[in-house]
Amino acid sequence: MSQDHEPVAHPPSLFRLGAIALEIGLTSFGVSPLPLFLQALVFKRGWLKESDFLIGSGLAQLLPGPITGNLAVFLGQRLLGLLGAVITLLALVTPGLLLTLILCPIYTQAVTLPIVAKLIHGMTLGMASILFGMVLRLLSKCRPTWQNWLLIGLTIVPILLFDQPAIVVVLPVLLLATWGYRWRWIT
Amino acid sequence: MDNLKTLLEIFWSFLQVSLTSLGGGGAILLESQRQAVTLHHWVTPSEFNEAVTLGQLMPGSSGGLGVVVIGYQAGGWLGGIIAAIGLYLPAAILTGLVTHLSQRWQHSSWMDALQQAIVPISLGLLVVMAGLFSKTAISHWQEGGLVLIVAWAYWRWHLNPILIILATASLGFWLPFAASP
Repeated sequence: MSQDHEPVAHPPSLFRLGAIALEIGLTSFGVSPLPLFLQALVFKRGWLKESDFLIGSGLAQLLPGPITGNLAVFLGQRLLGLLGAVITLLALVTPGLLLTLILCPIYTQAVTLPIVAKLIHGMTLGMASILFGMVLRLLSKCRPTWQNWLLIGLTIVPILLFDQPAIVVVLPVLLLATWGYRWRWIT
Repeated sequence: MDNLKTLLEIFWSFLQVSLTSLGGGGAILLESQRQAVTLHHWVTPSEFNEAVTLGQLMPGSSGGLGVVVIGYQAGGWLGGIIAAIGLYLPAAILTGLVTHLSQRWQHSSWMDALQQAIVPISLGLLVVMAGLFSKTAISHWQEGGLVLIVAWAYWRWHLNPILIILATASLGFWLPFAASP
């Protein structure tokens, strides 16, 4: 995939990175931290490249554990090292954690109302749309070659159409692709 | 002492969830259910579903916040916090280590190739995630159309993702075919 080697803007201060992550932690729903981090750190401020973000979101999905938490660690670490990772993760998770703690003695019963199921149904539709839209934005920036398209397809088709476990599909594709990039068969 | 034992159990259970749940939300749910409902009887199956639903409505990293409710039911406020630490911290340490190694060996040609290889696969995995959400949520062709239009609009006009989710969530109230979750 086209690697733009243009210089990346100066890294942020710890405070600014924390403030951005806190804003996302306070306002985002579902998987929206992904597009929000992409917008804030890559498109808006240029602190990271699209390919950096994609390496992070790929790792976050391939490693075990919560995807958004893992992504926060990757982004923080890439920008400002260990302290960056700690601050980004804490800022993302703490608001939701505190709010859940406040609400769970009172509101656990309320979520059985049918209206909540409708709300979550609508949210899920929105999250699917945003993820598709985010992929379109990334694709139009990254300009994939035909080999890249092949790798993308080899990842999607077995998992989505044939219900194969992600890790079983991804490992061979990852090995093949690493081999290919290493010997420059893939560009 | 009993209390301390419960807290340790909560931590140990969610540490296992953290390190065995590959692929995010769905895997976390399955493994949490096994730990909290089947093994430890901290919550009933219906309480588990309530916990997950409340977690989904919370801001930030919502995929994992349902465990806070389970931890709270099992061991009070501290239990809730310990559950979150158990779920987030081990995976975070692993991710941090992998990220650190990728930076340390960034000049090795194999590491460079590996990182380049992850980029298209990561795009594929994002499509997979979107596809799985669509599979669960789309029950009518109109909803499929809605997803396509909103995705296109987000791409063209860079709309705010939070506003999009709020809008589609409220659509969930109004559209009759959106009733079944």
